[in-house]
Amino acid sequence: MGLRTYVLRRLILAIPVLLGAVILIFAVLQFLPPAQRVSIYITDPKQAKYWRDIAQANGLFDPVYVQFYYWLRALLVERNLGIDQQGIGVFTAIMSRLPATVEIVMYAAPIIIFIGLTLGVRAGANKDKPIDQGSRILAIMGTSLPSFWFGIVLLSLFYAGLGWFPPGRYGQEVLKYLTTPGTPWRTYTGLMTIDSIINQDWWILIDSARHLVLPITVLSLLNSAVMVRVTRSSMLESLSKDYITAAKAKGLSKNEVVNKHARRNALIPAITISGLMIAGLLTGVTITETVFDMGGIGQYAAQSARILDIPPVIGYALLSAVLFVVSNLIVDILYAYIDPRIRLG
Amino acid sequence: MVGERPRGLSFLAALELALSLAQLSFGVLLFFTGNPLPGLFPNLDIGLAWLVFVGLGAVGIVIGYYMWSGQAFGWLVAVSLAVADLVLRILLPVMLGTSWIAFTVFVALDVVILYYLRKPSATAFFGGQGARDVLRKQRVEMQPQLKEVGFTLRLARKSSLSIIGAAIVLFYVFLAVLAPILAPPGDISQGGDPMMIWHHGESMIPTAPNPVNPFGTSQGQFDIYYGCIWGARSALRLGILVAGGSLLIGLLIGIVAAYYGGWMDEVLMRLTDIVLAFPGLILSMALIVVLVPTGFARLDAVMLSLTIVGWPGYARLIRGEILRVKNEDYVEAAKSVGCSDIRIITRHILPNSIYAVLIVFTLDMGTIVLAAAALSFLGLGASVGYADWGQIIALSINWIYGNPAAPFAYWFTFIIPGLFISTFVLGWNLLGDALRDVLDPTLRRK
Repeated sequence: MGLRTYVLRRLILAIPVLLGAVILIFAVLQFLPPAQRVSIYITDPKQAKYWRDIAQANGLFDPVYVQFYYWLRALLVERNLGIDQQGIGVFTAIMSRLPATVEIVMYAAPIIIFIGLTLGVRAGANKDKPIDQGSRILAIMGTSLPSFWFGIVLLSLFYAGLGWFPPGRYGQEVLKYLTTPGTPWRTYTGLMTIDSIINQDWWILIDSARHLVLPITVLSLLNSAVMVRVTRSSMLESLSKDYITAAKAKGLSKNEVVNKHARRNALIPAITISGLMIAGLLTGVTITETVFDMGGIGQYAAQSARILDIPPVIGYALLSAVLFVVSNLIVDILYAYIDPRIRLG
Repeated sequence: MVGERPRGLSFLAALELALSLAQLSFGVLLFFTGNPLPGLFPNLDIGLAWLVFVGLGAVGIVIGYYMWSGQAFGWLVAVSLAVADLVLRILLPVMLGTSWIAFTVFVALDVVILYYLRKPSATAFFGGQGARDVLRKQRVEMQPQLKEVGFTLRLARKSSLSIIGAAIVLFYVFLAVLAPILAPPGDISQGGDPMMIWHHGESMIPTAPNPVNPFGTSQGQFDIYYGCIWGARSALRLGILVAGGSLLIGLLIGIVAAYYGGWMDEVLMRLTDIVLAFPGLILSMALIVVLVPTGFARLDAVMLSLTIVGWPGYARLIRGEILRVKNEDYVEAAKSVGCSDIRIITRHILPNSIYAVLIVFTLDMGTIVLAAAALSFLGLGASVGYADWGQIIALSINWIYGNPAAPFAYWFTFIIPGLFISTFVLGWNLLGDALRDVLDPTLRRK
């Protein structure tokens, strides 16, 4: 099987899963009576009075499959996820909060991969040495510490105690500067760190970096734990192979054996874990954004869930399923590209 | 097994099994819902009573099983456990004041069992003439098993982490069991529910640790010490219920998928794919948001949603393990001598694949409690004042910055409950890792 057929097959296999995820959410919604379900279809708070008509128009009183058709059409064609309790469309709300989340994930993901791979390889190559024990402690922390508690402790230390890294996305002055009309600030990407560089407002860059340090620390420390363990065990396995013995026998130094022979093969299984990392990040973002008040989509979903505002939570769940499935698809394809045995086997 | 199973033995074993199962279920009900038969068994609302029922019920089931099976060392196990059961029963009612009906029935049953097992017809079934002979023979038979148990214990002792893990888990089990003694309930502010934390006054400002509140109070004056102690009970209960529920569903679906294969397998596994397409916490958030307006209590919604999110992992694991074991020679051998499907699954496949499940179950206890704590923190868990670690931390959120003069003035509101969660999860994680090293047949002799 060539790479192209493999990619095609994986694409086709991903479609039923995505469709299934959408059906699952739809099925979950069926628990609710039409009067509550209708908020998913409303696009304007003024419509709330006429919910019965909207429910009628969307087939909420019709058989399930008709409802599903209307719902899917609203979702795909009109990109309508309903409105939240403030009367803002969920799709709009999510899009406006997306940059805050992207900004955290954008920095956390490379850090996770870097820590995971380098520490994992070194821990595997130096089994039971201090660095291996250190990686073990990191792994134990990553699986045992509640991320929200870790965040709170860091805030207490580094904000209340030392005053270095404040919560929130902007400082007071930056917020004032951004909301004052007539300032020469222009939004390009919505990411504060990137926009401040383009605008050459260095003080804003420093401010947003200070606000990003803690959430990124929490996300990357706790999420890299799994990656470290997987890389370590796959490193150990690859070090026990015959070709390593052969490499050692011909007199190569330990560094050469580790870096040239063992590492390459050990990294392959670690790639598959990056798919899991996305799930960890989506979950982590929900919690860390709430702790640090970052105003991203995770916090939006969590705040809505607290007041039982259904449409934003449903929208967030759908979005995260799509992201998770698509990223797993990409990882699988990458995996097949790097390791020919996968697509041939 | 040697010789025919005497009819009296079958009858006694069945009786013992049935009564013990009833006793065990009674204990479980007592723990989760309170005394189901207060008229018949009064005075059982003491913190330890459920444990006695569950423990003695489990002992009885083992006795009944070994009496029935007549396998190697079955006689020895049945006799020694029956003696232990008898001694415990005579000691425990004095301590607990349980029902005399149950006491008489079970003591009489133990005596009859012990008397019966000495009879030549019974010992012949276990392969010996008389008690002394069967004891000697079974000791010889047991040698390999005893050696294996010794090896397992040696492996466990060698890793200090496993001992720490087991100690932490035991510590929390003790906290949960002894909670009524360590932190007596009954304050008027609890409204008769020991799971609600007592509070005197409504003041929002936390109180520092003092003789009345050893760990201080949180916002709303809830006593943190009481909440942390009883939180062990709610964490264990939630973990066991959710992990157990997921395991049961996963076991059923995994077995059906693996054993019957074909389109059934395909459909069930696609179902797991779909649930696993969501990050777990986010799907359970969505489920809770929908379940609560339809009339579910918040805590029930949390447990139900975590179970719905949790079972696919077990289903996949069990399916994979069964497929791995299914083609082993010993399963083929069992098939060729004409064993039934049920017997092959329960006696040959499950015992050989249960290790992996046990390990995942242990690790899952931590993960589930962590997820439930996160949901509580996000405001989706138990109602305010419920003894739940995540919820106590949620109550501290306005106080983490202390005050300008003393930034760490309210450290106790989040550090202490956080340490409870972290060590609880740590304990189960260490125990799970240790079980992997000790039990996994592919790793233990490496």
